[in-house]
Amino acid sequence: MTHLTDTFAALSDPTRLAVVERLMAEGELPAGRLVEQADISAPAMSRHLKVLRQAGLVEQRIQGTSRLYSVRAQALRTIADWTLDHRAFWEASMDRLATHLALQDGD
Amino acid sequence: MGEVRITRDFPVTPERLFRAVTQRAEVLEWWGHDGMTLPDTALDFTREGPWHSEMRDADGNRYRMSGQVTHIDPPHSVGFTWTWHLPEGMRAPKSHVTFTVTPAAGGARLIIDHRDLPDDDRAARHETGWTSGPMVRLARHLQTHPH
Repeated sequence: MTHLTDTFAALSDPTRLAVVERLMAEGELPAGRLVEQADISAPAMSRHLKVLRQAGLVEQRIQGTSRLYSVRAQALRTIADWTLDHRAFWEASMDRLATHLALQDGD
Repeated sequence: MGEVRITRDFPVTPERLFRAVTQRAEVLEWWGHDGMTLPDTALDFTREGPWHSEMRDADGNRYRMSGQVTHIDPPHSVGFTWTWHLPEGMRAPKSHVTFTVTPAAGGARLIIDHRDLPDDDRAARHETGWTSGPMVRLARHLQTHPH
């Protein structure tokens, strides 16, 4: 199960958010390509990728001598489902309100 | 901006319904997503001023939101602002909620208007969204790559 706090924390860093965006736009990429455009060192990128992997946001695949990274959609969808669906929030609340009123006032 | 309107009728008087959606002890009975507990809340909509709510799911994830009660007109309407809190001090944009209670055939009607939601909010359908460009693109990606 993905922990949302870790996911949010991982995305709160601009470099990591940029990495996720780039992987979304371009698909799977080797770490070297990510370093080229990020203007940070390879070890720094490696640390960022580790955080993103631990948060479940990206996954790694090893092909020959390359490590390829791609976005892992499931973690992000979990966030979106919870906080964005205000209609679901209010519908669920209304359902319980109806039950509450029926129990309190049923006669 | 996105907007959600939900309307439901209840077989009680408008006064009774208004109490149920404003008084703290009663709001706690119905507030929130399914399957969540409310470990920390200040959900008193009977007076103007700050409110907050924290929901926790079965895995221990916390979802915190807060706002200000901006108007009260019992037993007709109450309005408050709404902001999701994100870790690292980030906040989602502020949106506005209004509860309107009116008489209806057989009881009372509650209209919930949730306005000023991000354009790409699921409320507007077609897309899930977030607070700004990156998250909107992220959501778009998820929609086109559902698996």
